[in-house]
This record gives sequence, C-alpha cells and structure tokens, in this order.
Amino acid sequence: MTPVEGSERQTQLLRGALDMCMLALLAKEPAHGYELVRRLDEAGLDAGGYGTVYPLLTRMRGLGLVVDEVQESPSGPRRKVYAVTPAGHQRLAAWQAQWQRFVNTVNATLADNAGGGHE
Amino acid sequence: MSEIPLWTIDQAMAGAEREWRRLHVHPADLAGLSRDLRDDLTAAWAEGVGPAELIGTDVRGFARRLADEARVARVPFEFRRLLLTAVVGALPGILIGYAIVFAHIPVPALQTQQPGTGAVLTAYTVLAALVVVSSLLTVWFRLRDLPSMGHTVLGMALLVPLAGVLVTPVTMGFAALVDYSDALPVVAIECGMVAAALAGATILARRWSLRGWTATGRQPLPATPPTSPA
Repeated sequence: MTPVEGSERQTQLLRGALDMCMLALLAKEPAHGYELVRRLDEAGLDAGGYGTVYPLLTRMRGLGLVVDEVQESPSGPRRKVYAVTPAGHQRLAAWQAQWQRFVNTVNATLADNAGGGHE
Repeated sequence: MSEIPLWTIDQAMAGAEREWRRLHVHPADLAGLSRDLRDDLTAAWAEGVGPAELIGTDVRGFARRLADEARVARVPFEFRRLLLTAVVGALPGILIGYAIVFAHIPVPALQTQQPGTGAVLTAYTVLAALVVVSSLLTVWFRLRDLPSMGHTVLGMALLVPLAGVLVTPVTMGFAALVDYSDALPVVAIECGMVAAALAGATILARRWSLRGWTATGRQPLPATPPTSPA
C-alpha cells in the first residue's frame, strides 16, 4: 500500500467515526470549534481540519447532540463553547456500543485470517 | 513559507456570505451562520490563527458544506427552472402567433401590399399576448407545486407585458442608432435586450411573490436545539 493509498484509507475509516470522536472529546470537556480541531489533531486523528470539523459540529448542534454557549472574555473576543447535551451523551453511548461490536467483529475476522489463509 | 493567502476575517466572511446568498439561504439562517462563523474566526484570530489556515483556500466549498450540514432553509426562488419553463412555454405561443400573423401579413410584403400601421400593431400585440399567455399557462401548470406560484404568475402577468412595452422603444431606438442594421451581432444585442427585460420582469415577479419568505424568520437555526432520543 502506497502512502497515498494509506492516507485515503485512513480518511475513509475516519469518515464513519469522526462525529463519534468529536462527541467523545466534547464529552470529556467542552470546547470551542478551533480548540476541538486541535484536540482531534492531538489525539492523532487527521480529521481534515476546521473545514471538515466545523460543518459537522454545526450539524450535531442542529441534531441537538451538542449545545453552544457564548463565553464572554475580558481579554479577548467572545467565543462559542460547545458541550454535549443529555441526548448527545445517550447517542454517544449507543455509538460506542455499536463501535465495539463492529471492532470485535472485524478483529475476529482478521484473527481468523492471521495465519495467512493459504492452507 | 506558507502559500496560504492572508485573508482578513471580513474577506473570508464576504466570500462565505456571497456563496450563501447564491444558494438562496434564508436571510435569518444566513445571519445565524454568519454570526457563528465570525465569532469562531475571531476567537481563532486572537490565538494567532488566520481564516485561511482554518477554512483553507476554498471558502465557497466550505460555505456550501456548512450550509448543507446545518440544513438551513433556502428560499425556493427556482429562477433557473422558472425561466426555462417560461421560455419553453412561450414556444407554442410564438408558433401559433406567427401562423396567425403571417396569415394576415404576406411575407415578404410587397410595396403595394404594405399593411397599415394599425394592422401591424394589432398583429404584433396579438402575437405578444399569445406568447405571454402560453408562457404563463405553462409556468402555472408545470410549476404550480412550488410555493407562491399563483402570486408569481400574477406578477408575471403584470410585469412581463410592462417590461415588453418598456423595452420595445428602447430596442427600436438602438436599432435606429445602428441604422436598422441586420448584422448578426446587432440582432443578437437587440434580442438580448428584450430577453433581459423579460427575464428581469420574471425574476422580479418571483422575488415579489416570495417576499414573505424572506421577510419572516422562517425556519431559522435553532437557538436552543431540540433534544432527541438516541
């Protein structure tokens, strides 16, 4: 697999899990949009930057999974901090359970094939 | 050295708002999107991160994605469909009209058979009326499911003939200026003038009929999002 193929595959894998990761990070601690991008980067998730994360954050807000709160700052501009709602926590728990089942299934499938499958 | 252009927040916002207007995002939603994005860009700017580093070079694409994900309401102008339907709908009127006109005015008209001004005016008025009626009926039957189409058709019935009456002397004046040339570019300009006036009247009629949509805060972004079960 070339580095380009690897990168594309990584992007595809992340596409289905990015909203869950965003929700998990916000569940740990509320953050504003740019801060969330930074946390995703620190977590090792190449999420595609603010251009990808911010629209997704807006959708999650529209779905009622996160709520925003404007925080006035005495030293800087006001900023909108996003936090997970009770509905968001419920959704996150459901997504985590679903993800665990999926990962277990994939791992089991890969383990079956660990010997090379050329017997 | 970074190749990312150093946009200001105002430039980035202007680009995004232009794209949202092009997408006919409802003004209330546009204001909400704009306010939220500006707050975020300003907060990032305070930390030394510019808009271009955040959004990337494709502001329009970002604005489109944001509007899609936010599921904002769009004002259903449907200008392209409306204009196309109006043009297609005018064709039967043109064909029938010319058949009637040519039945009464031999072409090419001989000097001895020159019709009177009254006859010509009457013939072309009938032709124009047929074209307008044919177009309006088609618009109504094909697009009646769109919101406020009744008002749109009424507005067109008023404004399209008015535009025709106004643009005719202007076009004739232009034709006189170029000594009634029948060169292709001249004819194309004359046709363009008439088409622009009629299209403008149609767009104005549609905007007028949807003024309620844009004036009221229809389907704005939720200030407090609804909670939904997982």
